[in-house]
Amino acid sequence: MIEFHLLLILSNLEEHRLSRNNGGKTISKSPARYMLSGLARNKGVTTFALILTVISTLLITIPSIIIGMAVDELLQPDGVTPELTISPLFVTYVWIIIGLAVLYMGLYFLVGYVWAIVTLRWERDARQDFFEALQDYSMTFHDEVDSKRLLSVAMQDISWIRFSLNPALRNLAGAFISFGITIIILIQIDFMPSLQNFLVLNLGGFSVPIYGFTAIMVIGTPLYMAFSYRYANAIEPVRRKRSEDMEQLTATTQGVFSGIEVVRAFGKEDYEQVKFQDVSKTYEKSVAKEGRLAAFYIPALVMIAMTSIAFLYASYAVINDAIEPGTLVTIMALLMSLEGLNFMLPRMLLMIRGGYVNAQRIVDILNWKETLIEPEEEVPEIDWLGDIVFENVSFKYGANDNDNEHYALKDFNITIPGGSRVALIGGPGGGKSSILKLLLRLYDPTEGTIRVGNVDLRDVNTETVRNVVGLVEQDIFLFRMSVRDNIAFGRHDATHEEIVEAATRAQADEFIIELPEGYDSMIGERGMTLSGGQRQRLAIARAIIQDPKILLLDDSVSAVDAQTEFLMRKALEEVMVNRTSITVTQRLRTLIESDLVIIVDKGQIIAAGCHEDLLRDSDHYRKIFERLPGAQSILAAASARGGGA
Amino acid sequence: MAMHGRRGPTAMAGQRPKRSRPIRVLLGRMVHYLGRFKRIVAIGAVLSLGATIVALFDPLVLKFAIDEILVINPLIATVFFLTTLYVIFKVTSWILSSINIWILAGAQAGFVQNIQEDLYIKLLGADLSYHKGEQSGNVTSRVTSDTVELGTGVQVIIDFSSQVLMLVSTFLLLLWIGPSIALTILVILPGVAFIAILFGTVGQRIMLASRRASGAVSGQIAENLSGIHVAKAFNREKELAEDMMELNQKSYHHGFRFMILMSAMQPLVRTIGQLALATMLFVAGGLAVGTLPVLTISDLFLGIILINRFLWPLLSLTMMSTQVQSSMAAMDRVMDVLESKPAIADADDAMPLEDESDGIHFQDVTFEYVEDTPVLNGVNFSIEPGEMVAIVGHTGAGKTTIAALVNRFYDPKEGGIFIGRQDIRQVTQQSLHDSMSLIPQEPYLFDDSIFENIRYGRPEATDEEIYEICKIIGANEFIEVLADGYDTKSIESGKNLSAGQRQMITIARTMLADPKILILDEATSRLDAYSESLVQDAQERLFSNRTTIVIAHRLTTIANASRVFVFDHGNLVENGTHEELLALNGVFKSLYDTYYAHQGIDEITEEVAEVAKSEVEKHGGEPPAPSGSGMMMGMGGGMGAGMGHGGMGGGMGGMRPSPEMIEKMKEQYKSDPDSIPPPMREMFEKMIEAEEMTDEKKEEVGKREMSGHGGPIGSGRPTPEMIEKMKEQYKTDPDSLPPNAREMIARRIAEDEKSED
Repeated sequence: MIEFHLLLILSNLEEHRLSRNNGGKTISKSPARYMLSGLARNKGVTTFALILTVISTLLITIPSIIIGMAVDELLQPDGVTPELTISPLFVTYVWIIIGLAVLYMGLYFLVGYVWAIVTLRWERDARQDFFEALQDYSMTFHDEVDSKRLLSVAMQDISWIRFSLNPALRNLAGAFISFGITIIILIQIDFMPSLQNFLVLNLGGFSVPIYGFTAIMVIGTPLYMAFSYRYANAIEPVRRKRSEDMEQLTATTQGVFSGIEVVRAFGKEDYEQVKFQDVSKTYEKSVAKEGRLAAFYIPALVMIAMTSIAFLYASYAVINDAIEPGTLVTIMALLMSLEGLNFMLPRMLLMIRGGYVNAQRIVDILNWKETLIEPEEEVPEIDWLGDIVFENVSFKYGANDNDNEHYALKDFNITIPGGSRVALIGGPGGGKSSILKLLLRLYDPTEGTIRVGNVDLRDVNTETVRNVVGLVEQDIFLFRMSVRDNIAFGRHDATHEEIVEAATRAQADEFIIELPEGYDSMIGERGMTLSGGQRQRLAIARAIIQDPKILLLDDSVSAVDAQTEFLMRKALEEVMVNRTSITVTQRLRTLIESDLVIIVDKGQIIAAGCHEDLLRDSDHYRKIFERLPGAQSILAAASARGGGA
Repeated sequence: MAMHGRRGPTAMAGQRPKRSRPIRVLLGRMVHYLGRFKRIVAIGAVLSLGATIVALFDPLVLKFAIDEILVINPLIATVFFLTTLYVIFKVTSWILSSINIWILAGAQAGFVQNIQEDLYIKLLGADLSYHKGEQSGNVTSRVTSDTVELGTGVQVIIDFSSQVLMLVSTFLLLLWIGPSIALTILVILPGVAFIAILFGTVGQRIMLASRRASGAVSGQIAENLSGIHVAKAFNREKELAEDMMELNQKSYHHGFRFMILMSAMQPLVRTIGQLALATMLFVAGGLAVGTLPVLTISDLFLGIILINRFLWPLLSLTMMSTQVQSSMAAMDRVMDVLESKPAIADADDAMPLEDESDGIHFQDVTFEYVEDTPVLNGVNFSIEPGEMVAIVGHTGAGKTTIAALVNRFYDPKEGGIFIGRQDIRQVTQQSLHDSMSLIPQEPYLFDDSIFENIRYGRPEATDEEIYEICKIIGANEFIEVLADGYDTKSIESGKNLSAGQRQMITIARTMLADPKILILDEATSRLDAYSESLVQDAQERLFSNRTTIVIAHRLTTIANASRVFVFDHGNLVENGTHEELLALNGVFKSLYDTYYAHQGIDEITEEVAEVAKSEVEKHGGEPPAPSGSGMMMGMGGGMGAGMGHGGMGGGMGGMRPSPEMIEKMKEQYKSDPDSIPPPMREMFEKMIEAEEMTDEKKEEVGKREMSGHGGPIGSGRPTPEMIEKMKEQYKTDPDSLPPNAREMIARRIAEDEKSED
């Protein structure tokens, strides 16, 4: 019957395995609630598991009583029959112990099974939710937070919380139940008729009976628990310090060995050695400190006191015939098995404490305040090929309310005619890539507005914006997927023909078919790394298949050979047709062919116009051409024309 | 993605690590390090022995007490005395073992720190070829996780000895007091053996699968976080989340099996304990009822207490063996590092580089990274003090190698390199590096503030000097607008900065260092033309009369150099000013046409592109190489469990494994395929196959050459013999050669004629 119920409950769980409510956007919870969300969600199963835990603990405790009874049976004068065989009652006792042991095994295993399902599902879902929450956060978040840290939170912190539920919370529940049952049994013994008036304290005429075992347990248990808790509390900051020191040690070491060439080229070995020594000595100290905490573990002393006082009291009772020797054995067996908790309890308490800290870290991340807000109502029907207008746009990285006074873009004003080819040039940090990112709505401007076809980008969902705005980024990121899937990343329902067509137009087909497995060649994993030019052409194919209305290209590739350059130019030519394109470029040829060249510096426009005009009017622009061989003639021609005009 | 470390997947995944040294040697080395704490360890051992002996007797005391109770006329005083004795014993052993723990904790931490420092110093001085051959994550784990593993190993060995001591002495004591109880306790042995075998076989397998699955999740999260901007730009978050769900579900499945196994552990052990208890009751019942009781109630009591004392230590012993195995493997890896001798070390009579030594001279320098594939062949050149020389050549011509050799990152195989008249092998590395600076191709930033990154070039530089240099090279503008200006911290090797910005910062760092000799390895490749011109102006102003080597990638740099060295296949083939070399119409001219001519504003014609293509292909082109990033992912498989040691190292874009590393792994694959994780194994299989194929192809080509038919030239480099043959052929019948080869041969013949003149 029980098994049937359990199966029912478990199959219910199976159905709900994709239902998640313990993370994601809905969460704005306290760490404790986050930790317990898995249990709270499956209240029925959890209660059931707790009941099973009580029963199985009973099953493992009862044998101690039976041993006592068996011992008494042995000591009974009539327990031994004249034929020198063991009494049948004694044999029955032994079989009961065996039976209980087997039953316990089955039941306890079941408990473990249920806990495993509940907690591991929580872990899986919490990780999934956490990941999805991270994905949803805007780039402001990802700029701020180290992805190494996010990864370790996603993997380790969530695992640690699960550890704190299972085994820690489960075993802690078991330990409390063990204590509880032991207390109940000992109180029971205290109230045995023979012990009723065993020790009586006379207080001014009142006779107060003393319940010895009750007193031992009622005083001892809270003391024991209090000291255990204190221990777990003391070790928690030490352990946290230790893992921070370890992180520091790893970061220092990793930094030096990844940059060993720099260290060596500047002859800084001695300096790095001293730095390392500091860090490793600090780590040594915290390791030693943590190790030392295990020494002088007070709860063990409390337990010794409880055991020996109970023994003394019980012995006194036996001698005075108040209890049977078997009862003494029972009492001692019960207390001795509690002693086993000396090792387990503090570890479990520590895990739960640690789990709470981890939950705090996760909840902090999940409660991060999003700055990029989706519009409540989206503007329908937008002319994406309309003019792109930057109106008094100022932008700074980081949350709006931070005290950073340096703007990446400042009072930026420009109108980009729809369908035109725009080239964007300027030094590092001038604001080129910020412009691209704003157009993708990876960020919103801090001040001012960006309008496309007269619609404020803030009034359009990010998803819609990113559907019509395509990007070929500077450091091309390809996923560990086949070439085909990487191209289809631009549009997930693309057919094979469409993919090949896009690749062909991007001048990528030629090298793809040369790859060992053509379009199925894996990129990354056991596959290929492609040259910069090849990666870029794949990214262009990815953009072509997306067919965006506005194309953003960050084309700052370093010098390549003429063939690659030739193909690249053809690919770019192809991808720019029928859309507004904005290209960050170093290619002088692209500048000449653009409808509009914008020079940005320090977040502001220095000059804008077509090549000819700029050559005539802008010193900055002329400087770019100045050093090229043959540039003198261009410049001369331009200034001649300028002079004539 | 940097891989987490080779030890990651093997040790973590629970594969039996292969060791190259016998346990005796490894233990010896551990003892050697512990020997630095001789006194402490000795005291610890004595304390531990004492605690064990005391603990041995406390249950006995209780047994005697019970005996006392059960006599005809029990005396409470005796019981009281024995109980007090029990308390004294218990407290004494508690104090002794606490002191022991206290002392050993310090010794253990010191032991780990000692090894860490030794390793770190050794690795700092290790040859660059070692660092190139290993992922930095791998090197880091030598210092971090391996040493921690060793520390745990020491702990386990100490625990192990005290457990064994306890076990054996308890058993002997029991045997003496009541042999029947002692023998009865042995019934737990089959149970313990069963559990040990269960966990050793099925358990290992399940654990392995579970770790792999969670490693896959971790790898996927890492990748998706690195590519988050792409996922956003293409609205693909949902699909990626679905993929993640699949991996997550798989990891759940394996994790569940593992946890079920672990859940089975506790009831199994306790049930075995209960069964032993029942057996003992049976035996006791049988023996106690005899006319002469062999077994008393107190003996039974003793047995009940001691069952637990037997069961758990035995089990933990079986569990410890895995830990001992992996710390021995860690010791082995650590010893590899400690025993290695760096090839590049200061000579005994090394002198500091003298102030007046300047100018760089290569004398018959031959160098190879991998045996028998020379990168430089007998290179001779002299760069006069104050001269600026540009080096050009195809990919793989040996340009970067020259920069590395001048810095003495490697020593040449033959020949010598001189600064002024001093051989750099006779110069202290410290003084050598003090007087020269290299700006490498890939800018590297430490995870520190921009201030500190720039100051790395000269620690005593003031803030004003840093502002000054940044203003000169035009970096000040962009640094000032960063979130925290100069105090902005570079994170993940600079993911928060653009490639151009990173490059600017490394340039500022080097210029601040103010070296006597400056080497720029495509140092401005990621800058726009205007910023580059600013840097060049700064360079002219600050370094105009210093010895400078520029590995050039842009025309403008070449034009500025006083001389240009043209390298081809490790040979210095042409040398002169830009104009002279162009007039020569040789290798430089074709390089010029291929790489530089189109940097201007002219249209590229199909024809030019074709020529460039054949030129690049002749030099091996840019073949798709085995991946760096993906490989790291595959190897980082064990990350899930062992993260936290900078699992995501390297950062974006993926690093390419160096040729040395690939060579090394190939060797490893050949000798022991299992030591390489499966996904990579496949890759190496392919690479080796491909290698064998090209070998065959070469032979084929060679054969065809012998028979006189002008076969196609493979993508490989033609041998000198082949070229000679082709020259002959060209002279008799030019059309029999393929067009691209024709051109080359024609050029060679022209060269020959010139040199004959």
